[in-house]
Amino acid sequence: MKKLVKDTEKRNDSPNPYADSAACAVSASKIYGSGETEVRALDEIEVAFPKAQFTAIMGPSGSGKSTLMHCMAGLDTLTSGQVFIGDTDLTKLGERARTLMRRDHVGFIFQAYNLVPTLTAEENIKLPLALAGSQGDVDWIDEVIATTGLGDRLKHRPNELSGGQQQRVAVARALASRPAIIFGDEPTGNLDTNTGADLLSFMKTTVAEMGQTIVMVTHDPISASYADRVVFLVDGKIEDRLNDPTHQTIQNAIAELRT
Amino acid sequence: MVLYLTLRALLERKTKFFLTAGAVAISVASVVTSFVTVDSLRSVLGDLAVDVYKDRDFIVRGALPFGEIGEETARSVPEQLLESVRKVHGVEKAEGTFSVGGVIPTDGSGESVTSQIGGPNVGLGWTVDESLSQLYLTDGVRPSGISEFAIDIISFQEYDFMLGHEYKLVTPTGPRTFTLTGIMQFGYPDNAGVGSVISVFDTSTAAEVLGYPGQFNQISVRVKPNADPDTVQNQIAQLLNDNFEVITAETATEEYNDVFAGIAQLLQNYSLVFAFMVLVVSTFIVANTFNILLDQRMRGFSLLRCIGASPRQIKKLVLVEAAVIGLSAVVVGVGLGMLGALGLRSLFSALDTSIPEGPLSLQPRTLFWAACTGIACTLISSLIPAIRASRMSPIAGLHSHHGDTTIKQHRKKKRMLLSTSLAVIGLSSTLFGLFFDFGPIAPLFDPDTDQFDTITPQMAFLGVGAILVVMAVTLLSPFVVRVLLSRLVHPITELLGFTGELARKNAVRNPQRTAATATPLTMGLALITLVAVVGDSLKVSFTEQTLGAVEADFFVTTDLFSGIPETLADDLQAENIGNVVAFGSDRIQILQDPQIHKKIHKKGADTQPAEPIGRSSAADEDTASSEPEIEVSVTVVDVSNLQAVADIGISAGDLDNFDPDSSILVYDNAAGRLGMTVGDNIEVTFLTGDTQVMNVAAIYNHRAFWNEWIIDQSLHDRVATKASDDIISVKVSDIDLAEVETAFEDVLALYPETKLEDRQEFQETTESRFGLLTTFIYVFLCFSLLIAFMGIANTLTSSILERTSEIGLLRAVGMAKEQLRKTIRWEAASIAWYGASMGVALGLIFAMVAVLAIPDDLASRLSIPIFQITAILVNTMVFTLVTVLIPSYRASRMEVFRAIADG
Repeated sequence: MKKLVKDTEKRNDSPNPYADSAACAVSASKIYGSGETEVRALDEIEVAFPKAQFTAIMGPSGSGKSTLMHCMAGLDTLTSGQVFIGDTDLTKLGERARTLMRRDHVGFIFQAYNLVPTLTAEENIKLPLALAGSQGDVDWIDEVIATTGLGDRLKHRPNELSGGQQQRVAVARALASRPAIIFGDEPTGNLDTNTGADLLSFMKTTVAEMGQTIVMVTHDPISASYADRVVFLVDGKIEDRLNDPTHQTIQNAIAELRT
Repeated sequence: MVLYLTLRALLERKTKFFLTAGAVAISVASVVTSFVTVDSLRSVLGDLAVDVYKDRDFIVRGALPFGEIGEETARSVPEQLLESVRKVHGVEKAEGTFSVGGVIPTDGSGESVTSQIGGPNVGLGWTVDESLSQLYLTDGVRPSGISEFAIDIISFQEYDFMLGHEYKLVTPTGPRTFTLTGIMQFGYPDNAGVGSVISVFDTSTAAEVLGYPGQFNQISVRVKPNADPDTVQNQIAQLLNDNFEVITAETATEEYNDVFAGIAQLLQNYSLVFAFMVLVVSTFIVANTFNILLDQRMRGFSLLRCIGASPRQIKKLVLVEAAVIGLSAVVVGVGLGMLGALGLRSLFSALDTSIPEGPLSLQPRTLFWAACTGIACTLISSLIPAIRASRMSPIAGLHSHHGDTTIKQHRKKKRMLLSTSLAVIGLSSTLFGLFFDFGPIAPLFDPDTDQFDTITPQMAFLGVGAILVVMAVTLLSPFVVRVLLSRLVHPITELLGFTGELARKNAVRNPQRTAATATPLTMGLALITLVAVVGDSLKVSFTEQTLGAVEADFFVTTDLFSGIPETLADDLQAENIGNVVAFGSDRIQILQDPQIHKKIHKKGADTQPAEPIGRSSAADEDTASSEPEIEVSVTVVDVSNLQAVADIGISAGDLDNFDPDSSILVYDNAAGRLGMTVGDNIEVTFLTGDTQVMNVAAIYNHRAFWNEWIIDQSLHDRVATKASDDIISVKVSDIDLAEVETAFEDVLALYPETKLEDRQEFQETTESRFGLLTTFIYVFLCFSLLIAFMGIANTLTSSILERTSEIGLLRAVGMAKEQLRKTIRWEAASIAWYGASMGVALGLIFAMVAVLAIPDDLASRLSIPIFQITAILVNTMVFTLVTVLIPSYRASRMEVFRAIADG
């Protein structure tokens, strides 16, 4: 385990061109195939996600929003360009260093399959710490666990929790290591409207009260309206941005983009 | 269409196709290996026997009163009988022939000549008529007189021989020097050789050299073309008394082949038992694999059903797929099996087992059984999953989620009940086998054995008990796997930290699957442990008993089947180094109560051979079969000198009362079985047909390399024909050790193929003999372990596939590749450890029961080879880790974001 920690420290530090952003992409391109079958999933994207803000990435299917998230989170690699998390250029890291980067500095909330079924809710929350072989910040974790409001259900396995509870555990897991940024991939996609609204409020609270940075991919305007900012992606390019969005402004923006 | 879908499905799951087919292929291979090994052995042995009696019509020979044929042990035919046979009307030619084992020539470079393929060393007398002797001169002249010999062409070519030169030959009457005058072939004029080393002398020299002056082994007879064979046979029979018989050449050849066939059959039965176990184990693995595979594909099947496939088509799809897997497994398995047989053959030759070597023989029958094994195994395994797949409703399948499954409650109860009752029946069978006295009812089980044999039914009960217990454990396994894994594995995985913990939790996720995966390993290791412990107990008991009873300092032994020439002991005795005692052995028949016997059976004690008494056997044999006659091995030794080299532990009677001519010694177990006491009279029949009433002089209770019956050398010399020793033991007098060594060197130099061993070496040789037996068994059990490993790889590959999303998640939140690999490795290790420790525990229990059941004179105490068992366990774990290298590597190579997206 010690060896792993060292490798994290070795990572290449260079200044983040967008100061004060938790993460950013600099002329980021992701191209699949070549020649006639070439697909530009990401086309020279420039985007920065400010610290302590809740950003939503929106776009139609195939717009590249998931690819952008995967590349920004170090799950996938760019064809060209750079992505930074804090001051670390992910494109300069190897597979192993990216793994450690994710473990220590990035949180994830997926649409489904967020939790390891063999572990209890509490164990799932502590999963990144367990993988790092560290105790983490005990007070902080207690605080995070308290905010989930799961109480006595913490010792239960995921299949004994409701969908909403499972996603709350996922958010708590993402928070546990105090990551520089949390990426959410349609975190409410599998939830009914009310439960989804609860979860989004919970996420918004962590941004507002704990200063957490969250980036969420969604195609649902209502979900996106919980964010501080919305970025619209079409055909691998950023076509529009909205600050302090409402359901209505988002609908309008989408309608505009369609024309 | 179905076939097309099947092939597409198989191609898309190459790894699992390979692993499943591999497991079946190995079981096919084990069947092929056992058949091929035995068939090859049989064909080599058959080559030695076939057509030995060609060109003769009848054989006149000493009649065996009991037992199996063996030319050397039967009564030899006196010369005057040959003259009588020649005078019979219709006999064209009759010649006395001679063949005796244990004639070993030494070539020009001093190397002793032995068969390349393990055939015997024989000495033959060359009859006047070539066609009757089957010997054909290829070069030089026929040997004549006391100092000439000829040798077979194969030995001549492969060793350093030159015509006209003198060579030393060890014969049953001691080492002698002969001049090589000719080279000959045996069998056909154009036959290269039959695997034996053959030295040929003229007939009278042969008789003398081989120890039977004025006699023959047998008389070969050819009938005139115009005579009626039956009449001639009857006329010859008229000349003979009970001690001789005339048989047709076909009968002789058949008898000869039967002996070899018997040996080969025995071997085949043993190896088939192991092949069967391998088959059971692989059926397990294949069934488990099919279950898992089809579970994963239920969604696909549902889709097919939704778009219009009928249940029948689904069933057909699954079964055709199984057949394709089975068929390819058969093809690969036959190849693997041939390799296995090849490996086994080189193992045998490396271990110097004197098992004949020859070309591998692949019979159509082998292929038939291989095909049955492979295809039946897969079809049976896939039948239930196929039915399940076809019965599932289309929509239910589309929504089904594989992963954690729990056994349904009502099935759980049923299984519990079944396994408990199996266990109870199994245990009672075991206890019954252990403690019930089978003496009175033993003949019910096997009417052919002597009525005092209680071991067969006892072992049958124990065996049934063991099988039932294994079945019970197998059924129970899914319920205990969680608990046991915590107990057995938790302390270890805890040390390994989080990944170890995760691995253990993964291992118990699907208890049924884990249990099914671990069961083959349990079975394999239970058997291996059983063999190891029983083997070791036998070895230790035997060594302890032997060394405890034997006081000699040195031992002379040989690997040759023909034994040690009797003259060796005399030569050693002449060196005056101490007490030299030679141990030989022979077969005798014992009749317990001569008085009763005499009333029914009015056979003359020992009639003269020349007396023409017809062989009217039918009536005699009828009465004989109802009498309590038993055939036993007897040790032949100079009893007056026996005490000098061994303490046979006289428990009743006194050796002082031993009369060499009429006394016999009995081991106390045998005496107990037969209810015999000192002073009892028994009637002993020798292979020559001589009978004699003998008196039990003493009962002994130590055994080493002597049998349960001991008679004196001088008596045996007089009544029996076999004249070789198995082992010579020497208790050295109080003289200089260097002097002793020189004496041994001088004498043994004259006798090639003999070995001198001190106590230490003797012990090692004895122990290694047990090792050989267990090695043979291990080879077959290894097949079942190989299959078990494949099963583990198979299960993990499937589990990994099912957990793609989970693995993606773990990787996303920061599990490093090596952590993932470690988790998978430890999961496999947990399953293996569970299976292996259960297996060792079961094996130990079975072994303890077996050792309890085996009579004390064979296994007096339990000895657990801890090192060996630990080594087996360690190897199992290492192999498991190696097995999952590929699945774990593949898992760690998955691209994270794709893995997540798959969810």
